[in-house]
Amino acid sequence: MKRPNQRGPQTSTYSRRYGSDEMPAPGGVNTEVHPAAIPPWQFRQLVNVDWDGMDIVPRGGQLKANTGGDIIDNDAWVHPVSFINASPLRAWILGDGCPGESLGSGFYLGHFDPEQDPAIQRSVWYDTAVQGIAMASYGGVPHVVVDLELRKISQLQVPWGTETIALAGSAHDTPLVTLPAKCNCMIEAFGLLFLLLNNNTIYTWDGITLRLESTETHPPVAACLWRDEYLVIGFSDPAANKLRLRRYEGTYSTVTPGAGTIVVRAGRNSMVAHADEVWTVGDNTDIWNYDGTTLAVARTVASATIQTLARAFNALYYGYTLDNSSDPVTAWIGKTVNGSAWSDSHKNLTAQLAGASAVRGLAYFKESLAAAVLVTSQTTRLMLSPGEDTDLTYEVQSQAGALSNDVRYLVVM
Amino acid sequence: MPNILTVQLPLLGLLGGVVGCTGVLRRYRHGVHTFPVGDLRQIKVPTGTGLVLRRPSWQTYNSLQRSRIYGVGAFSHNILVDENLRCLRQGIPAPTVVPTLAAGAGTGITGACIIYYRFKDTIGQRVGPLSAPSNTVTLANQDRVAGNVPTSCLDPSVDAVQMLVSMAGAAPRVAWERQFGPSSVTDNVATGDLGEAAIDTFREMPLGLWNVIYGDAQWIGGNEQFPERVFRSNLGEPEQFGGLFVQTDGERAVGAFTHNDQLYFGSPKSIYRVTGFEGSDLTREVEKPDIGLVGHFGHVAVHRRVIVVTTVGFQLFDGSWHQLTDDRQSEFVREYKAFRADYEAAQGYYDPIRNVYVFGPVRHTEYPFLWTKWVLDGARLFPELESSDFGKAWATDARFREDATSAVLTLPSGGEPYVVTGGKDGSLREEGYAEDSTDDGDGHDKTWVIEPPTLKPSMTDGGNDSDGAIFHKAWNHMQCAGSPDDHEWTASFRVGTENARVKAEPDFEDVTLADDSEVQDEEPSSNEPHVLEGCAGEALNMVITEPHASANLCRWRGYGGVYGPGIKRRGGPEPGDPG
Repeated sequence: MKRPNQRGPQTSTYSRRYGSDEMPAPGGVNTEVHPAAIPPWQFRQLVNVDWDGMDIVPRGGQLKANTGGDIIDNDAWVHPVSFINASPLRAWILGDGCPGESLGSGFYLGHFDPEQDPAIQRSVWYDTAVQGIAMASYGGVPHVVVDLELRKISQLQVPWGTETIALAGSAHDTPLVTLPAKCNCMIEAFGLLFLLLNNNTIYTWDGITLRLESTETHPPVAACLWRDEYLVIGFSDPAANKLRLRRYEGTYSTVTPGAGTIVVRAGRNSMVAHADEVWTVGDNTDIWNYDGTTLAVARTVASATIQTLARAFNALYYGYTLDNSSDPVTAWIGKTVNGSAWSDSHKNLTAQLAGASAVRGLAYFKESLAAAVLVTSQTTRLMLSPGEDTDLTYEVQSQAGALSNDVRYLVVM
Repeated sequence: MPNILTVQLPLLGLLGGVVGCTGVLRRYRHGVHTFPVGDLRQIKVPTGTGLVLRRPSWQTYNSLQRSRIYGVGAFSHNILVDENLRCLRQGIPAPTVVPTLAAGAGTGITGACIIYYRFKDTIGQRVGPLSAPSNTVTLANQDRVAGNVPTSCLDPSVDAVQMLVSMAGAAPRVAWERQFGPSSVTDNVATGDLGEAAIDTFREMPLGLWNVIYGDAQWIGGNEQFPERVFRSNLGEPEQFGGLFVQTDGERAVGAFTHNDQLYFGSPKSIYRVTGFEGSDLTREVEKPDIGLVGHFGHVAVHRRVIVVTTVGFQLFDGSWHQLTDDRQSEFVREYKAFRADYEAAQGYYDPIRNVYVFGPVRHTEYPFLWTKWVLDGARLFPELESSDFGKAWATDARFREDATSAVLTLPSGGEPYVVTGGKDGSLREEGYAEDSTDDGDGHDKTWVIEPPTLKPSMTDGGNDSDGAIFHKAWNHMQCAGSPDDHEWTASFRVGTENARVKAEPDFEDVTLADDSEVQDEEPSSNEPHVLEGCAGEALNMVITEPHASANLCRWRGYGGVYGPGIKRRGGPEPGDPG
């Protein structure tokens, strides 16, 4: 309506500015009624927009993330899904000193897991420990013996990009009990945690009580499960020259070789059950086999120091150092499926990784054969096979900024 | 770090003269917005299992030391990926050999024995069904000699065999376990020392197209032989099928979702509710007799509610049903009818950062040549989070390129989630990336289209319904960053009858223009009032387009203008024209 003093034509204004003139925030599309009947705050069309308070803003587009551009490329993606492993499964490394901190003071635990960042990282440094450490999973929880103390580790979910040691140091374990002697090896079997002590004893821990289970003639140093029925125990002292079998109900028996002297390397990577038989190595040229009847040398690799065994992909793998005095020292992985045919030269680690001089531990880990490899004057590496193609090029993982810390063994848990 | 499992499909070109058709499952170790080939690891599918061109249905199930994801729908067998990232076929087969049992020379066992074998995957602690039973042998202080012990299995995950013995008709219990090797085993495990019993009989889960986890079990639907059934696994054993299923009233079961400890599954006709766990307390009731589900992949749980795609539109289910598309009801029904296959195959996801629910891609009759997605604002849908009022606000996403599947990725140890989308072209793209103005080269450039309601002024200020009004000016509250010369937005005004919607290529071809409408396309980058040169009509329509709104950081806050009485007759003489 024209006002009394208005000049020119009578006019009115219309304002559909959100947040002003009682206009609410912009709404959504309404195609249900005629466009002229749509409430002012709704729309006939809203394409590729978003809402931000009183404004209509753009919706972001897509940014190409992979490099391939075709369905047949090696990095083609069609149907992605997110899958996060709920239970941490890690390859634990037990070594001397602490990478980046000290070459030989105390001992450290590190772990590798592609589900964390950094993928390989330090977990704990026991900087004052002097007697070595042993580690095993018990009831799904990592347990560790530091000097004479059995401890339970509470695994942390540290933020992405953070090392466990930076957040927790040695504070994420709980002391459980003091042992009477140094622990050479720990292993879970039959609902118990077996502790093989250096004072010729075998103790068990049931979560509450430490019990002396057996007194041996020599220090037990290694063990493996066999047939889900026996715990097979090895000794590094040549004077022992035997294996001990502990059946699930608690009876012990002894197996001795018909010929030769069996010694077993201390730790968790020197005994394994494969093809229903027990296999052991002991820092020498021999791989021993116990088939339930006979304990004998199954394979000899000349000039080798065989330190580790693992079962993976339904085959037996063994890691060794080859030192024939004339050629440079090299590190190898051998393989046998059934103990009849042997491939000692299955994988030359030194050919892929210059300076690789020893395989301290082998283990099956997340569809890879994992090898803890000592590299001369360099950081110890974790090498992972590309799936079951264990003779091809391995993925190499190393602790950033590490010193050439030695590795004692490798445990997956 | 999220493990992304992806399926590459389908063609693996010409290799050695063999035309192969295959797919690949890959795992990715998280990086920062880059997905280099070097970080991809192929996960080999089990021997004999092929991949087919469909979106897989995945369900995660965790218990104790297990952390596994179960996949169906894109594979010739149901599969799983375990905590060691092994891809395995769901269900270990039963041994095909018949065990033989004889009395041994040793001592220890007395009583009637029947033995069975079953395979075991010792890494995953998975076991298969029992073999056929052996002959019966009655022992009198003797030991057992088991023959025909399997020494291999076609399932490569299997590495051991267990012998179970039934003593005097009792349930079979584990007597021993052996890695593959011996073909004959002698034992004298006392009856009291036998291990776990094999109580449930089972076989592998039937093949299906989709799955859900509910009540500690996996449910699989979409079976070709029994399309009306949804099969339930044994409790705590998602791979094992014991024979239990629920079914529709005969229609094809197309999808399912869970809410508040209840399972809902549906056909295109009806929705059914399942409660209970075991066969004894399992009930099935008709939840909605005449409204069905649209596929399986669109239903998304958000904030203890579920956004459900039904045959009459999107609904919010929180124990009660709330229509979400009442402002687009007819449009949904029309589009669902026109592109039913698109809708049943489409996927929904909730983007927690942008707080929107997105469903698509589907074609749309108003946007030919484009793949569209329905976008629902979560801020208003879930008022307890960001606003005080419950409301529903829909928009549409559109691009030429056809997406396949989206996933919300998060780091296992925390971090902001983000959305990636796999394309039918094999490309993985991060969503919501504002800096890429071309939408990764999509021909539609993520073009903005805003069409407010038709403005039909009140004629009490002058004019009348016949003559309408004269629209003198219009302005557009657009804000863009950077130089005005870089802005590309266009505001088109059309004045005419209330049906005089603006024609703007290519999105409005179906609109019939009023003959007497007039159009003014304003130049971009100006928020000054636009003189409309006295366009007359009963209504004003406008459309704003901006092909690179995201790159130009555009924000739009409304529009306005000035109008007066309709002294300019539409199609009639100009003012002052004697006529």
